[in-house]
Amino acid sequence: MATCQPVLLPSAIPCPGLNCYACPLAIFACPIGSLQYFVIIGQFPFYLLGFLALLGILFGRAICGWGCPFGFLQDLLYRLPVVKRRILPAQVSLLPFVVLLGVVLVIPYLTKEPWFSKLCPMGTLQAGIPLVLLDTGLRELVGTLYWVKIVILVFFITLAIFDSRPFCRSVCPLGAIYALFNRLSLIQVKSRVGCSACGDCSETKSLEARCPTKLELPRQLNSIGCIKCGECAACSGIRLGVRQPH
Amino acid sequence: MRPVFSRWLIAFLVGLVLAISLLAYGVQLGQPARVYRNASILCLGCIGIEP
Repeated sequence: MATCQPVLLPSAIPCPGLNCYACPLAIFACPIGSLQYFVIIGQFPFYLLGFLALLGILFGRAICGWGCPFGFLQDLLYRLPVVKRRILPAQVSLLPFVVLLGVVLVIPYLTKEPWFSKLCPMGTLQAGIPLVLLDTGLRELVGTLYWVKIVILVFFITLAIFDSRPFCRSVCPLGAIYALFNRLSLIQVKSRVGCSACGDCSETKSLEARCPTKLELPRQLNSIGCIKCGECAACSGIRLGVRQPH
Repeated sequence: MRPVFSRWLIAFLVGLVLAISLLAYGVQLGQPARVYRNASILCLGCIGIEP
C-alpha cells in the first residue's frame, strides 16, 4: 500500500506535454526525463509506457497540438509578422523517431546519462535560465554544456519565427511516442468523402499553408506528423472530433 | 454486410486494455514512487550543469 501512495502526488505523474521538472514552478514530472531514468536504472518503464500509451490511444498527437507548452511557444513565435519560409524539408518527420531511439533510449542506456535532458531546449528555457539567474551557487557551476544548451534554444526559437513548429517536426521524442498511436486514437481529424472536389487543397494550397506541420492535405490527415490542431478544420470538408465506432 | 465491430474498434479496445494493464502493473511495482523520487531531485543535466 505504501508504494502506491506517491501515485497520488503530482510529481509522480508525468506531464502529458514537454515540460521540464527542474523548473522551479514544475508540478508534474517530465515524461522523457522519467523515461530516461528508467532506462538508466535498467528497469522496464511499465508505468510510464502505460501512461503515455493511454494518452496516445485516447488523444494521439492532439496533445502536441493542444497541450504542449513548447508547442504553444513555437506557435506564438510563428505569429510574429516576418516573412515565412519553408526551411525544414518534409523528410524531417522521421527524425523524432531517431532521437527517441538514439538519444532517449540507446545512448542513455549505454552511458548511464540522460542525454536528451542534457540537450533539451525546454529545460534551458524553464529551468536553466531562471535557476542560473536566481541561484548564485549554480551560476558559478555554469560551463560548456550550459552554453551548448543556450545555443540549441536560440536556434529553435529563431527557426520557429520563420518556420512553424521546427522542434515538434524534427526533434521531439514525446511527439514520436504519441505519433505511434495517431491513426488509432479516439480523437481523429476526418475528411468528408469527396472533400477535395472543391479544389481548395489542391489548387490554392490554402489548407497546406494553414497546417503547422506542413502536411499534404487531406491525404496526410492523422499521419505521424499530424498534431490534430484543427487548423485545417477551417475547411467545411474537414472536422476534428471523436471517431465513430463503425 | 458491414461487420458489427470494425477493425479500428477492435484495435482501439486492445490498445486501451494493454495501456491500462501496463499502467496498472507499473503502479503495482511501485514505479510512481520512483518517478516521484527522481522528480524530487534537481535535474542538473536539464539546467545544463555537469556535477
